[in-house]
Amino acid sequence: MNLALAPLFERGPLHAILAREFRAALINRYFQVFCALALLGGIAALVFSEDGSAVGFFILQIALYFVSLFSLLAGVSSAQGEREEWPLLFTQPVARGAYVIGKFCALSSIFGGVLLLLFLPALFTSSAATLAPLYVQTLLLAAVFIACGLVAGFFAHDRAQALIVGVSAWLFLLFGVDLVALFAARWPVMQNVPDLWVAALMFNPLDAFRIEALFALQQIPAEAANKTPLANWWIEHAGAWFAAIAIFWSGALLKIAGLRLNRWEE
Amino acid sequence: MTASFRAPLIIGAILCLTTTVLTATLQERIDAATPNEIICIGAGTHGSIAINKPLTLIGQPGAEIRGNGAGKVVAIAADDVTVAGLRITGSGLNLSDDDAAVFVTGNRATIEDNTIANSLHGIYLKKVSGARILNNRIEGKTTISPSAEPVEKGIGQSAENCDTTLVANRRGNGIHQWNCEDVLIRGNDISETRDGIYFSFTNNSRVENNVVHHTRYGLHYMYSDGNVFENNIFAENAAGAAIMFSKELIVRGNHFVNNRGLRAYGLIIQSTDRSRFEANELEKNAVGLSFNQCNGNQVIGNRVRNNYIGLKFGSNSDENSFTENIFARNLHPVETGVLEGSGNKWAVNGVGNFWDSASELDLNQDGIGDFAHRELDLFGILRRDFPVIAFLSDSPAAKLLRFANERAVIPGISSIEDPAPLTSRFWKLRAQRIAKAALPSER
Repeated sequence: MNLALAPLFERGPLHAILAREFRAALINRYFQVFCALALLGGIAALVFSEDGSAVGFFILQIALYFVSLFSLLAGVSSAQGEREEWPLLFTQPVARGAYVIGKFCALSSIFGGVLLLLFLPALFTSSAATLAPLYVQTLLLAAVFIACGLVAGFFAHDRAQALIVGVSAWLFLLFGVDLVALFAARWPVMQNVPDLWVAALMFNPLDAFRIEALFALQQIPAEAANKTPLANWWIEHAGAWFAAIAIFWSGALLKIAGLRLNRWEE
Repeated sequence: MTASFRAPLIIGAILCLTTTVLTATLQERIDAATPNEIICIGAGTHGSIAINKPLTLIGQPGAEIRGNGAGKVVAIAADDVTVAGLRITGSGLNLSDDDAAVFVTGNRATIEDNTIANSLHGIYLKKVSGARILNNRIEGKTTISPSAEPVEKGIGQSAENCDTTLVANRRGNGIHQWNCEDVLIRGNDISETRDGIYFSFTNNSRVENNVVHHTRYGLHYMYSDGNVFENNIFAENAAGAAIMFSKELIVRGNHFVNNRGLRAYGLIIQSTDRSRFEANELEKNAVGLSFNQCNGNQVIGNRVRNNYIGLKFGSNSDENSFTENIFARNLHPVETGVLEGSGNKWAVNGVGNFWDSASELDLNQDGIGDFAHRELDLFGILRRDFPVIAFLSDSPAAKLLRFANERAVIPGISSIEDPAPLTSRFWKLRAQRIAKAALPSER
């Protein structure tokens, strides 16, 4: 491992942070609510969907709206959880980046487990082969918003401010980007550079997730394909692109969170 | 099929099993036969035939009439001819000569239980009445010989010279009708042809219980009036069915499924008036149901689900009524150029349609929503001017705007308004009402 990164992955501190996060998750109301929602959503998908593809479509909606939101809230909550302890915690001989990495890994693992509540009931009507890619994509989406929540939590002065910043970011990515795109599409200048418009959507993790999942599940005719080289490429590589953009966003946000902690002074 | 209709075939089949093998060619036997005679065709390959008198030809298992790759294989010029139980292959490939496996110009022909393959058109009906096309299997010709003439190759083949694929536009139709009357087409399985069933200037006919798949248009239909289409399946074609320039049709109980070309439709209706489209299933198509320049049609109880665009509704259609249809899980429920106030009815006698995005507020529990439902065509003309707008399909932002439009009309964007949207409980409540109303009379 790179020597510069080695302190981030020291087994002792990482293990301690992971253990603490798992314990904290058990009493975290966001996790409790999300567990209930995931289970209800999974059962609802099973009960109200008429076939396997409908189950996938139902889960897609839950992932888009709820998984993204609750992973963000979990990130915010975790980042703010020990804020008052930072002066003490940061006296320990542990890289601050390990603190970020540990929280991210712990929360991602917890979501990996909790998401099974959403997906397992669907196995009664859909095959594991159909649902497995959607599960992995949903987990990647959760990872992005956990990282987003951690950044919001580490930057904010208190929990309320962190929630406001985090939820605003989520609303912007969920609705704002597409609304701006929709209005921009009517602008003649933008119509001359459709690839720029497409690129803006591609960099939004929620759009990248929606397009990948939607096109895979619905097999809708890609009327947008072949219209521009970039649109065509996106359609053909939607899965790989979403994985790449999710890893990029997660990595970039974790880096920002790490920098923030490194510069923090009491 | 009625019993009286089947009787000659059954008798013929029995006779076939007991007849001794004859040495004359099939054409010689036909020429020598007396009118209305039953001719049994034994197993083996026979050459092309022309029938000029009323006859019944019944093939035994393994009987094949194979053309030499030119012209028609079975040409029926007389009235009251029956051809049944044969494999018919090897017609010519010249579209301008109407080459076909079975070419019918006599009235009241019955073509039944045949397998047709390796030909241009499957069954070609030209200016006939009373024909019955029953339970045939028709497979289009998808390849041509590499040794075909260079000119023909240039027209007929796909891009590469060494490629022997016969492109769809150069294939024939499964069942082709021109200028016919009173035709019954029932129980046929048609695949890999250009168009499955082709109607032109053909009136007062019935098409029922056929399966058409893997063709260009499952049904290609124009200038034909008063026909009935019932319980057919049009699946996995480039386009399900195109009905154009016709009137007074009944299209009922058909399935238009999985027709997913880039510009494919489940059912496209163009310039068609005073017809009834009822209880059809339009599912998993690029566009489920498309109306353009159609007037005075009734669209009742159809299920339009899981399509990319559910209903494409041209602005130049008037006086059409829509009731009890289900529009569910379409990524774009409606594409329309219609602004509110058009002459179409989205509810009949206070009964509208089910829209899965409509609110289900129904305080009096009659299965009909308390507020009108507006279905917004958010992308509108952008679909044409800026096709990548499709990437916003089913986006939260699009849903947010549709939600907002339910409460207050967003100006300048096309939409339709259903004044009496149905809730998901409408059908259950109605069944209960009917059952309750029937109780006193039973007593």
